Amino acid sequence: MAEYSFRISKLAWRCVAQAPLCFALIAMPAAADHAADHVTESDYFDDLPVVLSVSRLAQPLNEVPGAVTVIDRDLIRRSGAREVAEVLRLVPGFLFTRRNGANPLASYHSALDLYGARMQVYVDGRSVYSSFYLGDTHRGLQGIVLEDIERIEVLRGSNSAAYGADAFLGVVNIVTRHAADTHGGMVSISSGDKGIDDNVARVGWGDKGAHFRLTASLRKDRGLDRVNDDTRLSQVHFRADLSPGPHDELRIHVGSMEGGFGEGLAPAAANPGNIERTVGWSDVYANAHWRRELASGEAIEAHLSYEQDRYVDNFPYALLPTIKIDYGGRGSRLEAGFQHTLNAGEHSRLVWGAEWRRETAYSPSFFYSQETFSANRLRTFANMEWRPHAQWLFNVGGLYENHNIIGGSFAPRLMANFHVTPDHTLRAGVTQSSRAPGLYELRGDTRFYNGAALADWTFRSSGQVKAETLISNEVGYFGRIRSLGLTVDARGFVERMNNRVRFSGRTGVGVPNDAINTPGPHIHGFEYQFDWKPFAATRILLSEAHLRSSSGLADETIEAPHRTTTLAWFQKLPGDLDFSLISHASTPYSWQGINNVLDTPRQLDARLAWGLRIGATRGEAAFTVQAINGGHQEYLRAYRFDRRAFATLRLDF
Amino acid sequence: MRRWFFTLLATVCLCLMTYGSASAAGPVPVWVALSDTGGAHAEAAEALRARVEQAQPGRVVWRVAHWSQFSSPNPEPHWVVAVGAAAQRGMQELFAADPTPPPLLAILVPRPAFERIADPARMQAGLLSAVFLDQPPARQLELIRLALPTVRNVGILVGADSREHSATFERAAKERGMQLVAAPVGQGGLFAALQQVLADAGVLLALPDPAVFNSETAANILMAAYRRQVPLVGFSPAYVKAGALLALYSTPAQVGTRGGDVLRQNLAGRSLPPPQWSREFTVKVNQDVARSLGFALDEARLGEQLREGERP
Repeated sequence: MAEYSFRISKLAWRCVAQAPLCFALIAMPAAADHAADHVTESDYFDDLPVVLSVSRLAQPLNEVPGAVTVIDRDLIRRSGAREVAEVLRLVPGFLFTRRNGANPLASYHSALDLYGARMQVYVDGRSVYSSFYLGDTHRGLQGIVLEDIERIEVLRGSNSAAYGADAFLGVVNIVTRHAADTHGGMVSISSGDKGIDDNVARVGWGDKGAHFRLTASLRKDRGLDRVNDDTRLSQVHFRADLSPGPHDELRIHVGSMEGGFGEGLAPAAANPGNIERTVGWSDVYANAHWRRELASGEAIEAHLSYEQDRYVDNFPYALLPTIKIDYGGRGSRLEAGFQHTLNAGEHSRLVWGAEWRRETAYSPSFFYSQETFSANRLRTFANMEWRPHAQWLFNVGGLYENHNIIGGSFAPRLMANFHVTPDHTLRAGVTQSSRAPGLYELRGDTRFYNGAALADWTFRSSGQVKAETLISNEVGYFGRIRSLGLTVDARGFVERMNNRVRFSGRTGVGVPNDAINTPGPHIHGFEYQFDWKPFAATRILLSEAHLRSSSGLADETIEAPHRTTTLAWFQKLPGDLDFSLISHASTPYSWQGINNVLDTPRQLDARLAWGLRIGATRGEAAFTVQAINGGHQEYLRAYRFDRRAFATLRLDF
Repeated sequence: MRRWFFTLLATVCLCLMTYGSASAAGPVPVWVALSDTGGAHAEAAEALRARVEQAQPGRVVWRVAHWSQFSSPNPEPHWVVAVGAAAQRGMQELFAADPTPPPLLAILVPRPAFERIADPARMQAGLLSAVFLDQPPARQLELIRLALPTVRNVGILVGADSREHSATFERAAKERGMQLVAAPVGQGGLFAALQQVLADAGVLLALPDPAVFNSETAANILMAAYRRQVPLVGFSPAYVKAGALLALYSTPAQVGTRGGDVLRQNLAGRSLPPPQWSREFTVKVNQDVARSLGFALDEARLGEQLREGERP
């Protein structure tokens, strides 16, 4: 998986600075014109440069140091999902819920946090999270247009050694489509129950060494019944793929999201500090990634990215409107890094690099200060892939992170892959990860004033909170039974979390919360996925996890369901019809303490699509019913996700 | 280059040495006209010569040279072998005015090039034939069937030169229960065609057509196919090296050897069998790409299975 990680340097600055020039040069049509040529024997004898060098090839799944699930765009489309987080239901061990209809979120193994802060999410190498509040990834996961995604690679487990501290429980690496693969136009319109109204338009163009794409999307829905959770989200994304030279690739991404999300509870009198309202969110980002292939097997990569998000959420305290509540603010991330991949001897490959990240948060209400708070992290990492024998592959790596507030930490990892036969591989390994608390947990101070008088003081960080750590031991198996068309991936694990960061809990009005460390759960269990293609037109996926969480705290133990199961059937039918059926179920578990244990949530989704071809225009008309089995409890016992249907028409031209 | 130079030198020396002795025993003068005096052309010519010499030592008086060196049709040889398309064209033109030209066997010529150049009247008279460099569609599709048994849709990118051959592929695909997904590379450009073909195809079969596959486009095509996890089957070893999963091709020596067989069998006569493909071929697998795409392929076994299937 090291190949999939994205790191940085000064070179990236230079690349960005020269990008307009590169663009002007490569956008010109090349002089060579082969149209007049005919086949001769020289076509058979001409040499070609090595295009798919070893360092450019994705690691085969049986050589990845860890358990990986890959979801490609066909699967995403056929799943009928409207959210990236929803797609993650297909991954063994992933829990999915909606804090309300406007806040879908996914979490690996345990309902530990409501914002996906312990999961690392990359979109084309840009780390998607918010430094403004608790380091959440859930909003960032909404800021992606599903139609642009090429594939989602999910590392099940922990891998701070390669991805940094946020790769605590799960790494979700989203790769959008190359701009050369999305030439032409595309429109997609979905409409249905619960105000579902999704619109996407895309245009792609370019030639030879320069390809561009512009995608715009506007999504709306009314969320859950009887909950103020409407979603309205608009976004624009631009991607450029440039080849400044035969060995260079430069990718540039620029985008912006803006939305309004329903929040709060009725009646206002019973929820004076959380009345029904709309929360505003906006985000802009720019990301450049440069890669150069050196001599055979070597590559250097550099990246530079910037992102800023802003929240608007202010309203009067319902019982005393002179108290103004403001949960708004803004955060930013600036990140630069580089990585170098090289062959270290005949049987070894080394990846090493460094990354610098500065994150800021500004919120007068969350930090009781006009100051912009910041944290700087400097990371260096290395991973050695060593193949002493054709059957054995070892990965030894580590990452050292220096955090200017909490100090240094080291995350080592050792994984071994043993190919029993080329098609059957056993894995074993141990990983230690650590996650630094966010700026709010380190510096937060939340007070509410009625005029000049302090009305309530809800949070004050003592600054004593330490990093969380997780030690993960795992064994795994990856196998292919080609005669049956079956691929199996299984993972058994013990994940011991220590120093879990939580809020201390308030003991009365005026007594503030603090971010503290608690022992944390130990989660053990096993999970597996079966991907079976018994016939060319049939695909069956089974993803299941069996979990046990041991902890001294009842509400922590119940955060991990004993079992989650997703069974999906994808069937191509005659007449360009395509049918899918996905069942997702969990045993009881809770996101919100022992009083909100969900009663065996089960969701059955069905989709029927018809492929269209009108000349060069292709398309699909689809009808999707989610929760066809009638609905289930979602997040809280009081919330229900009800049956909903929507139709989608998509045209590519 | 040095190797080819010495090969050529040895060939020339051998020709000179055998000239006198063979002529005494009723020798057969044969011209071998090369499109290029080195590389693949010299290798094919040498293999052809070696094959004939092995069967009938000293029977032939060889004159091997670049086609432009044969400036006069006289003294007329008994046979002419043209190695490569330029030599074929040159030799046809040299004997254009001759009402009874010597039979011309073109080797190492791709079929589309041969058919473009060939004089139909001479073909009908059995005075012009070929051992093609390219591979029969049936063989290519059979290899795909053996290597990728679950693939039903075979994608091809069709340019001006390959258009007329897509019908042959279509038929061969149907016979194997496969579907041909052909995308024309026209006004919309290469990338539109790639998008179209990669959306449906389980494998992309490269057909030699310089308007579609050339050193500039190969990288883009290989990358685009790889991003979609669609394997590419190439037509030369260079494609496998560059990143194609597989390639099926005949080496110059294999084509030359087959040409030697054709010449040997017909040396006494004055007419030729119809044009044919080389019977010998090579299957090459890029194991790094195969592993990355999740395939387990054995090139020796695939070649053997393919040969087995072609045996009468």
